[in-house]
Amino acid sequence: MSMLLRVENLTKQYPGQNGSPVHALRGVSLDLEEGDFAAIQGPSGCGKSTLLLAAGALLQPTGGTVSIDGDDPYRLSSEQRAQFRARYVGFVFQQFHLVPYLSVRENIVVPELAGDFEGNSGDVDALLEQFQLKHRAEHPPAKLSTGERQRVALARALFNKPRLLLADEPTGNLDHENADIVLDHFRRFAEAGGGVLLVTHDPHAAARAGRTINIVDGCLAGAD
Amino acid sequence: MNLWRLTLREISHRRLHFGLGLISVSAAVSVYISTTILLRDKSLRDEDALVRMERQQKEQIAEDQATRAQALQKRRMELENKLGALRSRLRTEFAAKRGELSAQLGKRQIELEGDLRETQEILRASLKEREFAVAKAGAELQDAMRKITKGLGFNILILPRDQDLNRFHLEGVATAVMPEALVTKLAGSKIVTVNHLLPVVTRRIKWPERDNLEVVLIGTRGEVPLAHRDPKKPLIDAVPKGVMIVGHTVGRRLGIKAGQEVELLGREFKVAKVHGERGSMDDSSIWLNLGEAQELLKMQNVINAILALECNCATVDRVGEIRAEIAGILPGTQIIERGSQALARAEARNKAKAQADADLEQAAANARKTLEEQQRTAQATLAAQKTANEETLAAQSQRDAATLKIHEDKNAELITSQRKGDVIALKQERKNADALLQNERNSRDILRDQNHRFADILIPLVVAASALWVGLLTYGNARRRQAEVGILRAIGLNTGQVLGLFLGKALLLGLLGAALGLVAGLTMGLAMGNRGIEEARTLQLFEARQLLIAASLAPVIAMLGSWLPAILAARQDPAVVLQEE
Repeated sequence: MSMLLRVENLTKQYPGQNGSPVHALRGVSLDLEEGDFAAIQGPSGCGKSTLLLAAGALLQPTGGTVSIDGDDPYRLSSEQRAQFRARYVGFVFQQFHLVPYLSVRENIVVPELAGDFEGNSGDVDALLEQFQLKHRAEHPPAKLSTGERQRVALARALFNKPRLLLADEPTGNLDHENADIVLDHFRRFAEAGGGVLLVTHDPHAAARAGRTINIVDGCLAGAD
Repeated sequence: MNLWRLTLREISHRRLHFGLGLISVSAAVSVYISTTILLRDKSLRDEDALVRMERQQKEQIAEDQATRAQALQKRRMELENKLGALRSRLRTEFAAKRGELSAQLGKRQIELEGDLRETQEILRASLKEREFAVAKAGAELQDAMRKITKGLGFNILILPRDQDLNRFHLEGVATAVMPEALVTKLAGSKIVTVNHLLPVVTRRIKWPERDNLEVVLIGTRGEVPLAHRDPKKPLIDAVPKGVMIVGHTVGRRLGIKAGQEVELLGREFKVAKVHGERGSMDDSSIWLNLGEAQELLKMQNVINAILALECNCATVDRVGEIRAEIAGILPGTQIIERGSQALARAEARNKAKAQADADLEQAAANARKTLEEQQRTAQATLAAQKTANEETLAAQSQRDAATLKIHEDKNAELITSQRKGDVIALKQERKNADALLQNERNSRDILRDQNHRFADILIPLVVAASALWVGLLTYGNARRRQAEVGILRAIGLNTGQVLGLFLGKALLLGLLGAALGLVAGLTMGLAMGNRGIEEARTLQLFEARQLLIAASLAPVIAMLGSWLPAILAARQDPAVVLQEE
């Protein structure tokens, strides 16, 4: 089992309103290997999403290191880091963030814009089949149910066959049935050798992960 | 998937937003194009108006020039007509003068010819009178000469052919006889060469009663008249019967006096006359009546000779001519001429005739001379008159030519003066037209400059407003697409790609806006402009350079307007956006 994600002593500070910095992360460290499906839990504002974004090479941390598949993305330039994300990381958000004017099929293939990485681009029809979206392939997101939208977002995240899947409250707007479908896909992704880091308030969703990491006030509070 | 497809889908999704931008860009482009067209249109119309104005001015000047040329031509024609009338009048007067002089000359010539004829008539009459007088005098002279020479006696003797002429010349009397009837035959013929035919018998006898004095007895009966001629006074009167005429010598020797009774050969005769001395054989002759002589001499019905007198009609070869004629009538005769009498007679008559002819010729010559002198005088007078007439006419012609020359010069001067005036007027007219055209051009240039200055302000303002509006729209678009941009950044799109999303959209907006703006601008420009321009010149309203500028500038303006919002959108932190979402 190789290490997919290693976060060491990660800190993140934001400028506060009264001039004193706000510490979103305070020296957080964690590892995620191939096949890991980890859920991060904690109260609102504890730094879960900050940790997720920093681990996903989206948010420059104030301190500490992030290593994805052995490489520190923050050593790269902004443009190189974007390429890096496209190649290694898939994101799923609670709000889906689908492009409203594109069809289901087009939303799934949007990662193509970032480039085709040595044939990593997936088969959109297979993804549509996999996420039971074939009949919705040409529909715009507005015509989809929330579950379908999240499945589209998940398919888009998987289109470039990333090594790491980062999800921020992906089931927050889903019913149980659709949440289970999404979580099942997370599990299968992990089982296929990928790494899944899931931020959630939902105990049911967290229960579906292989392990749970708790964060309180920017610090790891423990793991199950 | 690619950025263009994504952009087009976004444009399709937010059509209103894109439409508003499109309107803005189109408006800016159309304002630019239509303004350019209007300016161009104005410029072309100005150009056309100036060209029209210039053409009208040229036409007006040409018309004026033509009018002036016509007036000049008319004036020239009037002057030429006047000159022609003057020339005609002068010709008429000249012709009249010539006619008058010719008439005078003719009259003078007629007068002179009349005088000449009169003189000629007078001379002719005089000459005729003279001729008549000369002829009369000549005739009288001839007659006198004839009468004078008649005294010489007959000059032609017609003798019997057998008469020995030698003996005749030796004895002086003819001895041969011929019938007396011959004289009757000759008289009855139409002989012209002789007249006064006198048949005679002659014999040399001894007058026994008078001491046998030898005398020549001549018997004559008198002249036999020619049947075809008027009777003429006989040269010798017939000796009546019983009468004797005695010659001078005979009378003197015998003492015989006129009225005395004498006896001859036994017969008594009364002497009627004793001739004066003639110096010829007549002085020794006595004359008896022919019949009595024939009886005494026993020569009844025969005669010894016929005496005749040649006519004036005879030619130079008088004797030859007489012989030829008489030979034809009396073949048995011969003719001799009594030389001295004949020649004297002929010469006298010819001399008289010659003298008369000479006088007449002299008179005719004098008359001809007089006539010729008068004729020469008349010709000289006529020639002088003619010369004077010609000089008068030449002087008149010179005066007329001088008058015509003066009028021609005056006319030429008038025409030249009018032409110069026309040239000056036309030159001034052209100058005024040029000044007017220049003023119009200046006014239009000023107005065009004002329009261009206005356009120089308006177009940048509109373009700036359009760019600002596009920028605001892009900014709003970027704001609305924050989450989209965030997720795109999250899944790997770099800043440049995000920037490309907005600028690509701005590029399309600019291109499409330019296209629509071009169409709208051209439509508006052509609708508002393009008045009074020839259809063929419509294409001149468009300048490829301006169309190219509009087509290229619109996307640039749209991209510049979108630049800042696009930069802002590209630089936004996706983590922040995704966290806010």
